[in-house]
Amino acid sequence: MTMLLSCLAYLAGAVFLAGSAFRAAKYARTPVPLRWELYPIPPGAAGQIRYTLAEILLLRGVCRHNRSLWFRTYPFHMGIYLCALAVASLPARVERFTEAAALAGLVLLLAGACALLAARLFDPALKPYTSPADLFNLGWFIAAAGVPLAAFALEGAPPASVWWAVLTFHPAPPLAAVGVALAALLAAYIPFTHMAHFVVKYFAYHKVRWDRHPAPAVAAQLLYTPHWSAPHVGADGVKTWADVAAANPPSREKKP
Amino acid sequence: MSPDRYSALALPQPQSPAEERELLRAFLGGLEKLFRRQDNWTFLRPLLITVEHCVRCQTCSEACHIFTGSGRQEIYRPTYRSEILRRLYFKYIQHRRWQGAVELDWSTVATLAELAYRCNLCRRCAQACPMGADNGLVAHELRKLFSQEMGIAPKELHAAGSLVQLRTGSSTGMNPAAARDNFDFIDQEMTEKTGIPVKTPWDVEGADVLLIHNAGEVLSWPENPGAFAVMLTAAGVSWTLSSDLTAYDAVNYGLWYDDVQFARVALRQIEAARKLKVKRIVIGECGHAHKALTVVADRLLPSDLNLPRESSMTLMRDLVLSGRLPVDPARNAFPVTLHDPCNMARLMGIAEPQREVLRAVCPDIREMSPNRTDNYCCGGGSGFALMSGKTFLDWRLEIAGAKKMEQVLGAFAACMDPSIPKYICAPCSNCKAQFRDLLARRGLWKSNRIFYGGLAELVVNAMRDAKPGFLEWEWR
Ligand code: SF4
Ligand code: SF4
Repeated sequence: MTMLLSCLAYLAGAVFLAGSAFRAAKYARTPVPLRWELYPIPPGAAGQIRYTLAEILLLRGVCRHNRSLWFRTYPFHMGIYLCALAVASLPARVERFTEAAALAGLVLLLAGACALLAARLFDPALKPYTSPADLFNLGWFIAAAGVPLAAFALEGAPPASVWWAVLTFHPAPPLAAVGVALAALLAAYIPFTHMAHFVVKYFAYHKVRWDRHPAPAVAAQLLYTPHWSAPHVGADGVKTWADVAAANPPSREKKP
Repeated sequence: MSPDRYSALALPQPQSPAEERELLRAFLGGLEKLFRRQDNWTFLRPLLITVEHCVRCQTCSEACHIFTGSGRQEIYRPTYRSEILRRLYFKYIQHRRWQGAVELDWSTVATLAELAYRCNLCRRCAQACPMGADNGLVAHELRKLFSQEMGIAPKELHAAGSLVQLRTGSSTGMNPAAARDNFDFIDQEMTEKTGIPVKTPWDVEGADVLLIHNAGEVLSWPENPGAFAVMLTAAGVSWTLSSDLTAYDAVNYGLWYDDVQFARVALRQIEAARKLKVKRIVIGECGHAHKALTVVADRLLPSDLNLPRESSMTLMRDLVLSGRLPVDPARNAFPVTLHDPCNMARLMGIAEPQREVLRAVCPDIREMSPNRTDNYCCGGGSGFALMSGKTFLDWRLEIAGAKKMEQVLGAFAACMDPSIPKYICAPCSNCKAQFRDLLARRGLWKSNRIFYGGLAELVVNAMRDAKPGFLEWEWR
């Protein structure tokens, strides 16, 4: 059992990384779009880094434009960051720091996820747009944060030392082990959902909104074949985009 | 068939179940193509980002002047149409459950088609979105699906718009000969009004500047192209217009609804410039034409066609600030507020040049709030200023334009007295059309002397070398 849980934890980490890389590759492989920038564009690399850091660390966009949601989502995200920090600091063996980060992270994550779930269920602006998947995801976060905290309270198992035990192939108390399994599966699942926005935002900002560069790749894309059916397009399954753009619309437009 | 009581498309109701099935089949075909690289490489990346990664947090809602201007009606929420598209995408393209229920019937399709035309494509919502999602883009892509696959588009934009432009040379239907006649007439009038002898040059090879106006100006506000002719003549700029088809009309309606029509018009405009071997193209006071030819067409152009393209805002700034056009701002001694066309400000980052010009020629500038890249759309954006069919005009003036009017009244709050003439400077043809209709609907010219016009007119009105009184304050 111990072995199984440890393997699951490592496997989940690997799936998380591979899934994130896969998603990044999927977006990197999408064709280069036409220019579609949005101003203001932060000037220079330093400006863009500042902007990005403020988005990641402060969730500045939500803070500016949706303060009430920010009070829910900020603890949620901070909780994730602190948990990630705790896991990352495990090998350094700064135990008190790691434990404090883990506990604070789990508490914030639990509070944030509950607050977000409440908003999803009861806020009239969010409710109609909430899908079963959203509720499932938040429920999972609540469980993944709540169970280790319960294990800490009931089994006296401090979360960071539990993670360390699991990662070094040592046994963990039963409830704590369930907590680890939940977190591991969640980590493996995230890259395959819209929650992978941490990957996609790079493309949204650097490859669309802030991208004013020429794109030689478009020349090859002009040789793609469009199949749009409206008569004015004049696509025939053979003509390329370049052909279609160079041609005049067929003079007699028929109603579809 | 419409989700509200307005209509942009006058869609028919299918007459039989077989007809409905056929329409739904066509829609699904279009939906698939929207997400296929061969068919939609132009915008697939930002579309996927939006459809797959919007977290439906509604942070963008309050940024939308249509949502707030409607009293926050749900159907006008930026995410409303996107959510329908997203659910259709997950259900029919990705075959994934759990992403929310949706029924595909004609009512859903008709709702999407109409709602694609309840968005100004101003992308103010996108600016507020922390994910980088873009609900304005969703409206744009839906318009494309309907146009490129099903041949459904507002007649003002397609049948009487881009098709006419490609056939006759201008979406106004004005052929090259008529355009030249009109400009001859404008030249005479400008010469008389300003005392500066003006003769618009046509098809001059090797000119420094090929100027392209929105041809609608020629018919509705001829003083604007006239003012450009006066400025360029007085400053001794080497310039020309082109009489090639589509190259004397800067508009490119395809930008709003159809990538194919967009590319056709842009390529012809650029080709005309290359033929004339001009050094650069300058785009007149037309926001969407700015963005179309300068930004969106950029990557479509092979290097031999990628000629320098410049805004008339920077050209005017250079002429005025360099002293080539001596001005006396006292001639513009009335309150002026500046409208930032979304296409120039938020979507191209051009916000300061027009202010530099304005500061040089107007002593009493009253900024709207918010402004520059945070401006609100006038409500006429994305082709709406051209669309007045059925009840659409009511919607555009009462809902889409509400926020802008609030801003204008805010800017002029301290000078509403009708004895003080006031000027909304809108350096964009479509915005001007919207202001004309907004002011007329609310009677603000008659009751409070709020007028509207372009930037070039203010410059010429202040030019020391021109006779005073260029601005006539005559309602049109
Ligand atoms: S578009 Fe952006 S701001 Fe609007 S709901 Fe989606 S994620 Fe939130
Ligand atoms: S693009 Fe503009 S009009 Fe359209 S939804 Fe966004 S804010 Fe509203």
